[in-house]
Amino acid sequence: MEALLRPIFSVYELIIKPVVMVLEAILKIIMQVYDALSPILSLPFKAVEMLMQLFERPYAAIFSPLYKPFGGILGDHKMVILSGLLLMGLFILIIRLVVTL
Amino acid sequence: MAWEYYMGSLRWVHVIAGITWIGLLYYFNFVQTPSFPKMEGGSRRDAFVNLVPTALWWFRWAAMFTFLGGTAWIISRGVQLGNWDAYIESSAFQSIMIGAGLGTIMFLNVWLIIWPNQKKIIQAHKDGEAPDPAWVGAAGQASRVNTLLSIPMLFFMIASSHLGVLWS
Repeated sequence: MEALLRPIFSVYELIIKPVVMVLEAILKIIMQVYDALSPILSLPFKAVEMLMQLFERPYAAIFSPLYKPFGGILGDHKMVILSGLLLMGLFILIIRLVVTL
Repeated sequence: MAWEYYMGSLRWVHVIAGITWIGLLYYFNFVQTPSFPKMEGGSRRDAFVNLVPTALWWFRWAAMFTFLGGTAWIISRGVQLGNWDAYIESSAFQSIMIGAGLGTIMFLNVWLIIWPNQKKIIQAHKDGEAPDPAWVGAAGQASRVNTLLSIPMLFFMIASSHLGVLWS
């Protein structure tokens, strides 16, 4: 078995290993460039975070109270999954009714 | 030809970001939430300080890229077809818009309810204080709503390409 596998390992040592080493060297250079640019690259992310913060209060004021009556259902993850399946079925039923009528 | 590559790339971004987002959503709901109360105080605090912020970074940015990729795909599809009326009347569009509507609520829940409350919870743990139960409740409820909505959302996203018969 070992004799059979030896040529495969030889191919790996001779071809694949040097290719992986070259690839690793290229990736390291890319990562160094990325690390050098990361202060600039992180700016759009920070800008989006700040933009989204503007909408936090009005959105939470509308939607958080809407979710409160469902507290009993939302407290158990099995009931959440079942509710999701029921909602999916309800959507399908409505579509089928609309299409048929 | 270039359009096909562009559309394929948008779909790829949307799907890979979506897998990351919903995967983490299910991790939070089915793994983390039931496990944290069983952990000792010190271990839980450690997890909140070191694990949760990283998970939430990937979670919220995956939600953002899923939303942006999906929105760009829907608009680009209309432009590609060149006939908006026919596109809007198609079963594919109607299916995807139900999924997109649910997905948009989920995306907004992540960025505008879950993340702001989780930030406060993480900070409280860092300061060695107990988080306000109102923050925990608000973030938890929105997260559970997202899990619930993810089931029909995924159905209609898939139905758009693979279940046209639903509308016939």
